[in-house]
Amino acid sequence: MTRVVNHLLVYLILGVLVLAPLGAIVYEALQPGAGHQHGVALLQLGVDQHFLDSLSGTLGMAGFAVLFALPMGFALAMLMYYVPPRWTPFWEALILIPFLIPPYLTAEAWSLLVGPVGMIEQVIGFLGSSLEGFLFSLAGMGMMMALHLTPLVYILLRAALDNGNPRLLQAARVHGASALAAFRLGILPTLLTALAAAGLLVFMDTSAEFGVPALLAGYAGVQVLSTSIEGATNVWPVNLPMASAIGLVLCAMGVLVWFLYRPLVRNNEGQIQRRAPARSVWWSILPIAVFVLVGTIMPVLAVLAISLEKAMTAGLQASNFTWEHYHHIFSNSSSGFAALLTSLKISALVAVFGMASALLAANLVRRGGRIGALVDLLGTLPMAVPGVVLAVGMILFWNAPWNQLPVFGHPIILAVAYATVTFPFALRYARTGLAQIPPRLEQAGRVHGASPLRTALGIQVPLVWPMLVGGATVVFALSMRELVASLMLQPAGMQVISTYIYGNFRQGVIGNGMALSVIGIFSSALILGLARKALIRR
Amino acid sequence: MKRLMLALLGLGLASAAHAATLTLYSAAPATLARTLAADFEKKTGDHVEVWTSSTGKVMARLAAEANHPHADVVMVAGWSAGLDLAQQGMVYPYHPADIEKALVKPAQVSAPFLPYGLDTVSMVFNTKALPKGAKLPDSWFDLTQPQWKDRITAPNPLLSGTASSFLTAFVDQYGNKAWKFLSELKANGTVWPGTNHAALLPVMSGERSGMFECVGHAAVAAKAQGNSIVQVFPKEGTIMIPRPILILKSAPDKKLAEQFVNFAMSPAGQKLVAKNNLYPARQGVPAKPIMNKMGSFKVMSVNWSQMAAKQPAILARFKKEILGQ
Repeated sequence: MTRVVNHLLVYLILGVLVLAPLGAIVYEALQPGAGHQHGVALLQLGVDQHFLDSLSGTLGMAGFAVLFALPMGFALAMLMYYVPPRWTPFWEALILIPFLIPPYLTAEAWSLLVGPVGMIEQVIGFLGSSLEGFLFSLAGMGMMMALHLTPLVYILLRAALDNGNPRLLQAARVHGASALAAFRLGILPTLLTALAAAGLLVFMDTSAEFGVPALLAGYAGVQVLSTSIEGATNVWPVNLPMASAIGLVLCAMGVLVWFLYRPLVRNNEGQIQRRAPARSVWWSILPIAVFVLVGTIMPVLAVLAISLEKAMTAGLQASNFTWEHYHHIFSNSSSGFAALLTSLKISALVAVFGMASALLAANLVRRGGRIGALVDLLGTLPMAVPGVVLAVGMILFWNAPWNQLPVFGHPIILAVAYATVTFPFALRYARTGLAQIPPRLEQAGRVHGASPLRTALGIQVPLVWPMLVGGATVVFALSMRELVASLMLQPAGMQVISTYIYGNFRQGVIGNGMALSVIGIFSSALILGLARKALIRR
Repeated sequence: MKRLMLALLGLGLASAAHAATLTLYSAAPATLARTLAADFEKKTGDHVEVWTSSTGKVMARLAAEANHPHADVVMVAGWSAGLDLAQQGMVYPYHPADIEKALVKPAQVSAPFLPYGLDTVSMVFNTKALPKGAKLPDSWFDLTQPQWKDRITAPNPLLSGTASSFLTAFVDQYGNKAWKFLSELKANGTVWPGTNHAALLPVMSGERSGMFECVGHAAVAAKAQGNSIVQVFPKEGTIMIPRPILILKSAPDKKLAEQFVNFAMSPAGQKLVAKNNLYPARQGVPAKPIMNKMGSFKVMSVNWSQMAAKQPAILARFKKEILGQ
C-alpha cells in the first residue's frame, strides 16, 4: 500500500513539476506563430532573422564563457594543488565565493564599476573607460558568467587532481620519463575528461542564463535566446508560439550538452589518494588574489558603495554618503523588507518540500529497473531546462483556459517553479544519502515487522539526515537567487529579493536595490554558514 | 506529504476567494502605485495588491491573463495604451463628469477612463559626460550629428508607454523624415536597452552622454537626487501625455475599483502624483517646483484617437526596422 502511494506521489510530483510545463511548451511550439495563419512556429523559426541573430548571440556568449572560465579554473586548480599558498582553506573559500553571488548582481556591480565616471575611474583615474567597451559586448557577458562559473570549473578540476593517482607519476618518473611526459601520461587523461565536463557545464549554464544578458545585451546591441523568449512572452504584442519554439530550441541545446556531460562525470568516484602535502610558496597568492579581486572584492565593494551613496553621478565623497537606503529597507512600509521575508519563506518551504519529494523519488531510483531510470531522468532533466523556458511552460500550463486551479497569480506558483529548478540538486543529495545506508538495516527493520513507512522514518531519515540538511541548504540558496521565473511568474502584491534588486536596478532607486543586495548576501551567507556548522557538528 | 499538498492547495483556494481585495497593475513610477495603494488601505481598510512593471509588460500580462483576469484597476503611462485596451472591449467606462470638470486643460481628453496625471518626454543630458566641446542640441534631429556617435540611448517604445506615444506622434508629424531620422540615429550608435530607467542609467553613470525621448518623471527624479542631469525641450516641441487610470470590465467589485479611482483623483491622491514627479491632472494641485512649468516649452498637438489607431502598425515597423526583432 505504502509502496503504491510512494509511486503515485512521485509520478504526481514529477508530472506537475517537470512534465506539465515541458508538455505545454512542446504543444505550443507546434502551433502557428503570431501573424501566421497556418504552419508550425518551430519551423517558422528557420527563416526568422531575429531568431538566427539571437542564436548566434547565445552561442557567442556561451563560447566566450567557456573560453574564459576554463583557463581561469585550470590555473587556479593547478596552483592550489601543486603550489598552494599558505592558509589554503581561506584562499579556497575566497575562490568559491563568486559562485554564491548571483550572476545578475555581478553584472550590475561591474556595470557600475566601469565607464568614464564609474567607480574604477573615480578611484584610480584610468582603465574604467576602456573596460566599458569590453563589458558591454558578447565577450563581456561571457566574462561575467565565467567569473560566476570559474569556481565550478575549479571544483571539478580539483576533484580530478585529487582523484588522480600520484604513484602513476612517480612510476613514470622512475622509469625515466621527463616531468612533462610523466604529466602527460599520468595526469592529463583524467584532467582532460574533467576539463571537457567543466566546459560543457559552463556552456549549458551560460546559454540558459537570463539575468546577465537582460542587463548587458541591450547596451551591447546584441540579442540572445533567453531574452528573446522573455520578450516574446512578456512584451506586447505577445507571441507565445514563437516563445515556445525558441524555448524548445534552447532546451534541446541544453539536453544535448547534458547528455554529452553525464557520462563524463559518472565514473569519477575514485578514491582520494594520500600524497605528501605540497610545499606552499608565496607567489601563488598573486594570481589567486587577482581572481578574488575581480570576482569577489570589486563587485562586492561596488554594491556596498552604491548602497551608501545619495547620487550616483556625485561619486565617492563624504557629502554624498547616506544611510537612507538602509533606513528605507528596514522601514515599516518597505517593499524591500517584505520581499526579503517572502523569499525566505518560499525558499524554506521549497527546501523542506523539495527534499521530502526528492527522498521519495530517490527511493524509486534506488530500486532500479526501468521506472527507476525514468524517474532519475525526469528528476535530473530540469538541469538542462533553462529557467526562462520553464517559466513560459508554467504560464502556458497554469494559465490555460481549462486549468481552473488558482495557482497562476498566487505566490505558490513561485514555490512550484523553484521546486522544479532545484529538484535535480535535491535528488542528487537524497540519492547520495540513501546510497550510504547498508540495505541490511532496512531489511532488518522489515523482517521485524515494521511497515515501509516506519522503516523510512525510523531508519532512512535519521541516517540520511546530514545529506537532507545539506541538500536543503543548497535548494534554499538556489531558490533565494532565482530571477527569471520569479520575474515572469510573480503575482500582484508580492516581490521576492531577486526581483526587488533587479527591479530597482532597472526601474527605481538603485541604492535601495543595492542595500537589499548587501543584506541578502550577508543573510544568506549567514544562513548557509549556520546550516553547515549544524551539519558538521552532527 | 499528501496532506501538505492538500493544505497548500487549500491555502491557494482560500486566499483566492478572499474578498475586498483590489488588484492594481501599474507602469512606472512604482512608488506612486505603492503609496496610492498604501494610503487607500489606510483610509478604507480594504487591501490593494500591486504589481508594477512597464506599460508594454502590463499590456502583455493583461492579454495573457484574458482567460483568468486578475487585475481590477490598471494605470499605464501612455494614453494610447489605454485607448487600445478600450478598443479591445476590456475597459469598464468610468469618467464621472464632476471629476472631468476639475481636470487641467491638457488632461481634458475624451475617453472611457480618466487621466491620473500627465508627463512629457524630452532629451536628457549628463552635463559631466558631454563629448569634448559639444553644446547641448536644440532639435531632436541634432542627435544624428557625428559628435553624438555612440553617446545616445533611448527607451524601447515596446516597453515604455510614453516613448510609444511620442514615437507615434513624431512619425505622424514627420512621416518618412521621422523614419529616416530613426535609422540614422541607429546608424549613429544609439542603443534602445529597455525601459526609461534602463536607458537613463548609462547616461547617469556617464557611459553615454544623453538620451532621446526620456520620460519626464525619471529625469526629474535623477535631477532631484543631485545628479548632473539636464532636460532639453527641443524647438520642434514635445507632447503632453495623459496617463490613464482605468477599471477593467472583468473586475468583480466595481464599487471598490471606483473608490480607488476616486481616491487617485482626489486632492490627496493627486498630491502623491505630484510627489512622484508627474504633472497632476486635477486643477489646484501644484506640480513640484523642480519641474518645468507647463507652457514654458513647446508642445505639439495630438489627436489621440487617430494616434491610437495608427500606433500598432508604427510599433510593428519600429520593432522590425530599428530594433531588428
